[in-house]
Formats: sequence, structure tokens, C-alpha cells
Amino acid sequence: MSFEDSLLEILSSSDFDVFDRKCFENILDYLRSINRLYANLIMLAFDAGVFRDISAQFELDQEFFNEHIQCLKKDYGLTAGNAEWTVNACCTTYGANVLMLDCVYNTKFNKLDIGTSKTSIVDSRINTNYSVDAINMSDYSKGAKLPKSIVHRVIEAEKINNIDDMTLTVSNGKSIFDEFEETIKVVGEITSSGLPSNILIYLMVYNNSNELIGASFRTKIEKEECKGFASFTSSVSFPEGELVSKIVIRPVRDPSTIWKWK
Amino acid sequence: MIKKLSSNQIIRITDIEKRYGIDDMRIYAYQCGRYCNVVGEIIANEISNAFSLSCSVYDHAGDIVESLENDYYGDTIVTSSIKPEVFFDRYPFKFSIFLDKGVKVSKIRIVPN
Repeated sequence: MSFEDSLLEILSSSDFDVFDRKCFENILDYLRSINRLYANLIMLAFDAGVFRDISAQFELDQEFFNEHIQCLKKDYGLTAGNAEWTVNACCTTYGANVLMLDCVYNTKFNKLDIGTSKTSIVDSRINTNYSVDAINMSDYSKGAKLPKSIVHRVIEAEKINNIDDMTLTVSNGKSIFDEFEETIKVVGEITSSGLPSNILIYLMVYNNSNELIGASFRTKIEKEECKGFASFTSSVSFPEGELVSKIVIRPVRDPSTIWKWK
Repeated sequence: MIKKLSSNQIIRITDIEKRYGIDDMRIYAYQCGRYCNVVGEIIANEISNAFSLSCSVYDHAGDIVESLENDYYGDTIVTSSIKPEVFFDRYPFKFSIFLDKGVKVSKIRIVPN
């Protein structure tokens, strides 16, 4: 395994904390056995606050890159080449591969020189429940219906809440105010001979890695309002750019109806 | 621009989680300008007691800049409590955090209480 691969593995672990020098020094010991010079350069970068500064960025641009090279040259006496290698290694591993930041700077070093490790780490994070039917919201215009294949009902929960059936229409509900978010609108109707209590409609959106990326639990259907059937409109937002593999619609007894006096 | 927080920017205290019967939590958090949204799932077959979740937010200087409870369940502010009677595996929760101008989140800590 190359030095960069090993560094990326360390930075991806939950032990890494940009504020904990002692812990970082301990886990860096392993890297010293691979390349002592590189490991020491990375330690200097940690002391110079490069990792901390990366964690506060939205992207790593030329100004950020040059500023930190200058810092390592001026404050730590590094040569220009070593300083550039160090900042690039930090940006590429921690910035691009751990925090998923864009690296938009020019360097003579290869920014993607960690191929094998990158692939294995990404693969290990992907849940095996990956859905090939995941949709991209940008393929659907505002108001367009989304495919029924992504809509999942929880029949068991419907039965517990005495719901006989539920019909649902799910569409792209993005509004002009959702600059960096997508919104899914759900309009539904339930049929029931009588709800046992007030219920909430939980909406849960999952991406193609089976991560929950959006949730909503504010839509309430009152027991008294449901006389044979009841309708509802709800929505759930999540970050732009995520693929959607499923949206789960689940009725849940309203927790506020449960009181226990201690 | 959206910035997703990495797993090592999300701090949990598993000893406390276990006291409530929580096996694991999956948390997805991102900052978009002055908003930081956190959404997650509680992995457990059942929980032993009702609890809510608290979230502390830290900036890049390591200072705590926000502390709040998980969003309430329902159409009015009645309860943020996660109760055994309605709990199911992969129970969802979320935090909607509005930050002061210029704050960049370095880490968050989520603890049941």
C-alpha cells in the first residue's frame, strides 16, 4: 500500500480529529515506517493547521493552496517542492477523498494519485442495498410525477393503525426557494374504518447508498377527522445532487398522545 | 454550496446510547450557508426508555456555537421525545440548525438524554 493510500485510510478513520494532535501523532507512527520524510511533512501540516483549515472550507482553491504552501515555507522552513507536495497530499486525501471537497488549484503533483485506495474506501461505504432504480431529481421537472417504483409503504404499520388502504401520488415539489435542496411532495389518501388514535405520516428519503438523506414527520391526521377516509399533503427536502432510491411513507401513532406520569 | 460533514466530524457517545438500548445510529449532516441540517436513524429493535437527542455544534476554533434538541414530531411543538410505544427499527430524527453568519461547522456531537 502506498504512503498516500495509508494516509487516506488514517484520515478516513473515526480516530482522526483535526484538534487532537496527540492522537494524530500516535496514528501517524505507522506512516513513519513507510516513509519517514513524508510522515514528518504531514505532521508539520497538522501543526500548521492545514487539516483544520481544510475542514472549514467548501472548496480548495488556488488561493488556499498557495497560502498554505507559503505558510509551510515561511514558518517551517520547507523547500518549495516539499511544501507543495505536503499541501497537495493533505488536500487530495483529507479534502477531496474524506470531506468530498473540490480541489480547484493547479499543481505539478498528481491530484488523483491514490487510485486503488480511493476505490476500496468508497466501495466499503456503499451499502449492499444499492438500488439500480435510483432516480436523479434533475430528470424530473417541477410538478412531474416520480416513478412508483421508489415509493414504499409499510403495510405492517398501516395495519397497526387500522388503515385499510393508502393511495399516494409523489412528485417533484421543488420551489424557487430551494436553491440547494430538492423537495418531494406527497399527496395521499387513507381509508380506514376508524383510527385508534391521531397519527403522523413519516416520510423518509434514501439515497443510492441507502443513507437516510431527508425526513419529515409534521403531517398529522386526527382521529376525529377520519370518517372512512382522510387525505393529506406533505413534503420532504434533501440535499441537491443526491440520487433517490426510495421514499418510505409510514403512519405512526402520534407520540404526543402517549403520556406517562412519573 | 452544500458541504456534507464526514463521519469523523460527527461525534457520538456510544456508552450513553447503549443505556437507552440503541445499537447504532446512522447520521447524515450537511451545511448549506447558514443552515446545518442533520438527519439520522436509530438502529435498535426496541428502546428501554423515552429519550430525546441533543446536538452540540462546534466551529473550526473548537468553540460550541449552538446546542439544541431534535425536531419535534407532529404539527405543533409538543414533543421531541422518542418513545418506546411508537419506536421501530431505523427510527428517524432530525435537527434543523440556523447558524450565525460566517460560522463553519467543524463537528457536531449527538447524545441521547
